[in-house]
Amino acid sequence: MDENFIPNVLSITLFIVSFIISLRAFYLSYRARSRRLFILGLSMAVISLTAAAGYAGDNVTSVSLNVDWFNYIGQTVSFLFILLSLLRSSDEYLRKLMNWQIAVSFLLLILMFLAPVLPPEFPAPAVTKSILSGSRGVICLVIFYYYALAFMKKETRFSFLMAAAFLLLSFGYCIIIPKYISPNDALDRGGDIIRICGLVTLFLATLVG
Amino acid sequence: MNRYNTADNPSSGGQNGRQLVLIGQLYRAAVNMHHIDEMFGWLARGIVQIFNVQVVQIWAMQGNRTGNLSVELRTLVCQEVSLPEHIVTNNQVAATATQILTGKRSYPLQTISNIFTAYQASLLSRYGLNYCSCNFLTNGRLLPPAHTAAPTQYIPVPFEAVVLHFLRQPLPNEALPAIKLILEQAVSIAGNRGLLLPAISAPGSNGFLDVRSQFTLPELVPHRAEDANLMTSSNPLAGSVAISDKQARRLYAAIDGHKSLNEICADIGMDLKDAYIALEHLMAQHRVQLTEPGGQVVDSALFFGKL
Repeated sequence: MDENFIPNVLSITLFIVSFIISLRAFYLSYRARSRRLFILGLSMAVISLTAAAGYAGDNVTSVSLNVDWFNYIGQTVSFLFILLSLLRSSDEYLRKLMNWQIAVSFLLLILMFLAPVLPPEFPAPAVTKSILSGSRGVICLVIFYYYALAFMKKETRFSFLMAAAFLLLSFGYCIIIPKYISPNDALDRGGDIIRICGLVTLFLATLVG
Repeated sequence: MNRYNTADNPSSGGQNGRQLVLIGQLYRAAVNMHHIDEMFGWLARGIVQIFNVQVVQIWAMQGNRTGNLSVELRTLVCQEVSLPEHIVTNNQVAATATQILTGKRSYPLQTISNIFTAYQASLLSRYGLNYCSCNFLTNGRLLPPAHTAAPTQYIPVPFEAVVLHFLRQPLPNEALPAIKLILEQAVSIAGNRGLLLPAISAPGSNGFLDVRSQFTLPELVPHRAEDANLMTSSNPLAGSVAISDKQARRLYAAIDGHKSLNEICADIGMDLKDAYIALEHLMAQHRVQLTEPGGQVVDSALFFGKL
């Protein structure tokens, strides 16, 4: 089996799920003039770009692309904005958050376009990658906590599926951290498969929740 | 001067005659009344004078702008001016009035020991007040704050009042039903004369008058109210999230939490009539909240009814 098979499936799944959610969220944010939906749409759009960049990074060999900076930071920041949008509902807060997200997303795009010129290696790679990649898992864990709380307050299928999705995503991100210290294919693939399951659950939540 | 002239009616000796006389006089007097407290005072004096009731008190609910309700003495009339006020107006009597208002029921004539605590009953007995009856009054209108209350602190609340009658001796059998009828008639007259406010203000040609707010609807500031459950308990990507009405969407997009409805309409070129319909649509979906320019939340039911 091609060693890139599972990472490619993960990238494609991540791209499809986040792209569809992003399109739907943008459409509804226009129809509902909802700032929270805009934040979700932009977050998922950035995540879909990280998936596309990740796929390119894994498969394009003609040029050297260091897309990991964009992948790790883009996903961390996007999940962070989703989390922040859940914290409060005041219009003033969501408007400020939206403005911040637009500015930060613009900087992330610059980071993406810098992929060909960024050095191929991270400084102190074990530590840097563990922190950057692990931060996604931590934020997903906090989002899971919010959905679990929401489910305990009001048992809805949506909050249950979302809690399950973010728990799987968090677990998938966290279990691959050791590979940055000593490479471990089994952990890497296991983490990717768990994240694919998390993404499918996330997609299901938006479909049937 | 005797303002409650029982000689107006040939059958002034009977309870029915007294009742008719008092109601007739109330109709005439109400023309010159400008505040419900004037009517309360007039009624209490009339009952004291015509039915030989020693003390009449009217207690009513009052609400402040923070949404707290309390019971307030609106009128006190004593037959004997020598009666110390604290005997009939104190915390224990207020607590009893609160209980009656909470229970929303009238009590027939009974000894005061059946209604008040032993201490309060003995206090009242010492001044010859041995009996008491209570009439609970309500209707669908709003009671304005007392005329002595600061208008910035208090708001009209649904009219609920209790009339306490303290008596030395029991009244004739027909007297209490007659008093009850007079009180009910008085409430009806107060409503018709505008002394009690309409519960819901409909939009008028000259703007939208808010009985609770100092401001008209176009002067109020709409704020977006994001659904706190959206994305946690409810699916944000469900179609129901969208605002189906185009005008409502336009208005909602222009709401920034600072501009008044008037300013928003000027900005987006929407006339007030369309804005009212759009706002009603948004209110019905709980997407918007109205505040006064100072930030005080306004009850939207006063403009749009129960949505």
